[in-house]
Amino acid sequence: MARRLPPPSPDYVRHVLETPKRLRCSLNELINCLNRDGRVTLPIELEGTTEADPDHGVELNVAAKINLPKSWRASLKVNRQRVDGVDWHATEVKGAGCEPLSGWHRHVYDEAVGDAERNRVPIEDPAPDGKIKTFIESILKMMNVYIDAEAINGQQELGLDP
Amino acid sequence: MGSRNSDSILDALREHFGCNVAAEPEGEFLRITLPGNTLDEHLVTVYARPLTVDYWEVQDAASATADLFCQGVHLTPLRRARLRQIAERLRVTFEDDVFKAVCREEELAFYAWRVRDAVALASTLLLEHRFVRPRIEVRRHVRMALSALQAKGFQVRERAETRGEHAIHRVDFEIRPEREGVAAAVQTLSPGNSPWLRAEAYAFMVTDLDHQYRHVAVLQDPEFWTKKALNLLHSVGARVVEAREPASAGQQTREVVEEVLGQR
Repeated sequence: MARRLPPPSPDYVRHVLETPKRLRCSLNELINCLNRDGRVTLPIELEGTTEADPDHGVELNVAAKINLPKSWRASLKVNRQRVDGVDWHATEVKGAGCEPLSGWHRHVYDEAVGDAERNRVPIEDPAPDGKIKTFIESILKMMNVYIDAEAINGQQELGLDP
Repeated sequence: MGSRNSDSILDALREHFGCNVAAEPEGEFLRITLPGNTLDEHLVTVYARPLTVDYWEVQDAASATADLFCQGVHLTPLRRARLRQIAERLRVTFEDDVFKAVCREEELAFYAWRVRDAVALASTLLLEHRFVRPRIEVRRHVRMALSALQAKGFQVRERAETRGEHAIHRVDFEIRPEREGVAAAVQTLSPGNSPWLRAEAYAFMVTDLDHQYRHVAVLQDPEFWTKKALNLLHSVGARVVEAREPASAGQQTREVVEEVLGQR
């Protein structure tokens, strides 16, 4: 049976969450990938870094297979562990303030536990118009990720997850 | 047990399950929420739409796989096969990452529940999920141990870029003897989610660099490396150090490096 390995350190996760993050992919490319594959994994670079950190992988995941906004999901992961995320569930579970929670919510990293799985806070509908573009723009803003338009020109093919 | 008790329990159960059921229109679909949590602690929502006058399609809108994906469980062929097995057992289908069933209108409740079961069972893949432990801990100890070689006249370079026949590689530690001779390349390797793929990538690096180095692979979490992956590492001629404890891994690596460079 596989042993559950330790998650990335809370200090590093805090650093990732607080730092503006750069995405070297245009919005249209991202949407095209979603239309084609239903999900996309994109590496994220922390502002102020010039080369990839060999010990940590930060990535943005978006899943939107079917044109039903409530089935769309997004997450920010460090070493494949979700440290931030947005999704919708018809759920009545305890949120961060011990209030019953249902609908759109955000998974917030809990340093004490070391993950973002149980710590959920309600949020506004990220795509009130039901459009994927609005959804992506909302989650990028929420997660402090910006599209590096300058870097897109002349970039190589996107490193998408198989 | 008296009938009074069983009746009150039955009432409580009906109330509990009844209040967790919802059906609302969403576009061309009917969004149906059903009771019973997944491992993620949320209710399952399935979507139904009429295909013809008599037939309906019930599906999960790929939300089961999306939930797994967003938590770091990427869908490998093996995992997809597992999900297909779950679907087959429940007499629904799993195609294109969607749990789905086509049924008559009178069977809609039955199949909605079947799709719900499939989604709930899919969430058990989370139990297998393990994080990628950063290599930094092992590398730090290896770095400390190898720095001692500098005092003996070796040149130690970290993250050294080297051109192979087909690609440019980055070697974690390059240890070059003071006088002429073949250098050693030390690479720390974590098993990740697929030790075999890691081994293949490393084997490519070793063969691509051909005779430029004597290779030493420091394996993090050796208990997760499969025999097949280990055999591949050995077959390409790499010396393998199993780093069971990061603290001793540094010392072990230094000894192996000294050995391959002919200093011991």
